[in-house]
Amino acid sequence: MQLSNIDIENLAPDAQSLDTSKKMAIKEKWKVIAKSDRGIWGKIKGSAIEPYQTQIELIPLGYKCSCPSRKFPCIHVLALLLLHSNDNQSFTDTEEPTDIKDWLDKRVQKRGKVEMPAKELTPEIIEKREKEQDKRKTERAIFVESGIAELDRWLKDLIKNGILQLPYKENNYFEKMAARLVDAKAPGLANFIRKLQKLDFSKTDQWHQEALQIIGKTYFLMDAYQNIDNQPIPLQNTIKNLIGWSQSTKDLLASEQKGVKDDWLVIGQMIEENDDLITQKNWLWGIQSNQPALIINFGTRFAPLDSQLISGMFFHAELLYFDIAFPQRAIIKEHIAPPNQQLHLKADDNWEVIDQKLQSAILENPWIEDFPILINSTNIQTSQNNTYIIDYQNNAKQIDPNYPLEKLLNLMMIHDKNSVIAGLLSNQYFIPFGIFSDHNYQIL
Amino acid sequence: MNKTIENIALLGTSRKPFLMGELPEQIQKSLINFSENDVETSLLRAIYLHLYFQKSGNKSFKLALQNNDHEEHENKTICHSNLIYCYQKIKELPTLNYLYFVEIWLDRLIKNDWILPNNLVVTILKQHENLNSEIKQKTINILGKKAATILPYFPTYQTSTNWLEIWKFGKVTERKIAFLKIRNNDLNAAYSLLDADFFNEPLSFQKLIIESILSNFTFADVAFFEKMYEYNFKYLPKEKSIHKECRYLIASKLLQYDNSILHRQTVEKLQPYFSENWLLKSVKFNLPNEEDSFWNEENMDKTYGIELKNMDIGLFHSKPKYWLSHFIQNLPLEYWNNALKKIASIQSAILPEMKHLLLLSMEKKRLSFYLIF
Repeated sequence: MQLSNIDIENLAPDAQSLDTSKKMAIKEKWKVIAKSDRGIWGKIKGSAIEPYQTQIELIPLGYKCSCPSRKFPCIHVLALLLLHSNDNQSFTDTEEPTDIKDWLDKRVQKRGKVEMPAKELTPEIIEKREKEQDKRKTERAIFVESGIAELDRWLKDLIKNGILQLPYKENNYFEKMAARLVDAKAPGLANFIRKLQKLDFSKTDQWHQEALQIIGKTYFLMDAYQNIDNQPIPLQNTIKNLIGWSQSTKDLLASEQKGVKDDWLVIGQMIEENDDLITQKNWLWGIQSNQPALIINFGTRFAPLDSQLISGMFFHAELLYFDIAFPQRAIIKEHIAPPNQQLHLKADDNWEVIDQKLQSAILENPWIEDFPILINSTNIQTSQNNTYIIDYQNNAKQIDPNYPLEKLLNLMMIHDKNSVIAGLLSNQYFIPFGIFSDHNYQIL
Repeated sequence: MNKTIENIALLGTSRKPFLMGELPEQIQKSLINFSENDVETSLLRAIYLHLYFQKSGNKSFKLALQNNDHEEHENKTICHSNLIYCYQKIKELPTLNYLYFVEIWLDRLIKNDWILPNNLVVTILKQHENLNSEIKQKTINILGKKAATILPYFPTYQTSTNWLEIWKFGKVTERKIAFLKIRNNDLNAAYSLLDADFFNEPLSFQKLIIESILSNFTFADVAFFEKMYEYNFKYLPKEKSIHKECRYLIASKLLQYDNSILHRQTVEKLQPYFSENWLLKSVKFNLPNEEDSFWNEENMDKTYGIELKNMDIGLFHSKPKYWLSHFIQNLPLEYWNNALKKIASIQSAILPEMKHLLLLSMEKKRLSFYLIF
């Protein structure tokens, strides 16, 4: 699958990187450019003595560059992709050099496509492993319970003395509790405490509400955990996930769970940076199944995001959903391929239907925060500095007040009476991702 | 968040009792189902139950539609896709070349009376935001009716703002900005606006304008302030506090200018309180301990808008000292210099309390003058 220039533009981390990369997307600037069946690579002179080596896996998209840039993808990756898109013939078919081959093999292996020689498993070994697994589970449950008991005392003490004292608490007050929860193998709960610590206490009314939301959500989770055995398995998994149990992609791939084969559109992408961890959330929409999916990629300063997905990308794939209440998070099981059909989106006609859907989702999973939707919108209106998306029955939903102005203006310009708007309902506001009209999806 | 729950959570259950009966009925019913019910647990549960109900009940609402008739009435043609492709290429050029070619491109569109497609409007407006006014004007000329509606979001394109219109029909803060803009360009024009209908405006708006003039006060403003002092903010037996505040602001400023009537009258009134000791070659200011015909509450309120409720008894000890501090703050330093004649003589003659007052007042004004004491 060859990426178009628009796909590459969507991949760029910022406009400046894109502009610079366009200037580098000239054959003469590269010392080496080559390709194989699986990928492309090149060498370009940078500020270091040795030229930078840029390597890209095309399907699914992945890249690596030896330059020191902290932007992902860097300008060299963008330039090589643009050059490949505009002048494919300049890339000579070559045998993959050892380092490129190793890197590509490793990526394939990571996706679980290369069968690794499995050890012979005797019934004794299986039994021993199961026992060890059970022991670990029991130990973890004890740890978590002790952490929850401590957090229970901490929260009750906080609420007894009043949350108005929060701004005057030293960092140690939060850090100690968060560290205790990490020790108790409940990093999810520790994150709630860190969120309390990071509140902007200068915004008086706002932090009151935010603190109460965090405290409420945390205590709800703790209460639910005490009653976890009486819950259905998907809800048990949801509760455990939020507390800090991680769900294994490997186990999901190895399971016999049936995937959803569909043509998927990446309706939007959100990147969050928290300390050194970069989280990329890709919101997908299945064209036939008419359901959303969330693919999460993680990266760090030293391990770039595995960005095989780009906003606006339309492809065919089989997705496996994690077994949680109101499942959204999924992984790609099968290779990405071109879509089987033309892009069309079936959107809801009014906000009332979407409100009902959201209520059902909350009933299934009360902790749900983000709810992707497609809406047939007839109008966009601004009133008292707030902007609303209006359906044909004049029901309105407010756009997030923090939504970037440039994107908002683009939305106002591109929108017409027959537009379908894709976006996310989050914290009572709507965050638009893109607009669909005339079989074309335009990212905002 | 429900106010009862929020207030208890903010102050804490140790300070504010948690009464189940004050909670919304649905939350009360849900809380009964829990066996363990100590106060803190119940409050924490009430918080999450309320959040859950709030989240589930969050619905869209009806909005009265405005008329968006620009879409139906667009009578200009959108430029051909070849020209868009051409622009994409121009965009990749270095700045100098970009300026040259984009102008040719803009002229082409203007000549044919073509407009930009909607999906390119924001990009081009943003791109030309900081370019010269000629290019900005040409960019405005290739916008359709819908695009023109978003132009106010790009302030650098507002080349000829009609401040007079904004003064007449704008919101309060916009009108204040408009007044300052007009005042910066033409002081007389600004005051003729105020002459026309300023005193029919709400008092809060009049105060806002007075404060904005004070932030940039000049000698030329004295006449207008005297007029306001004489006719609009003179003492009324039943006056609003904002009326008094305006009198205080105006009188304080007039005291600072020796050409103002109020300054001259005040200086005359203060003169009898200075006495010279020829023997010691010193000047003394005799501040009365009791109220008299000048130093009294009624006069200070009527003439200067000074209210005693702001007085800190710990700092000023008596009312006349508090009033004197106001005059020290607002009458020019030259006046005090001349009145006390020789600064050196003040050192021995000045009352210790007055020294204290001077220090307090000067400190307020952040002047280093007090060092002389």
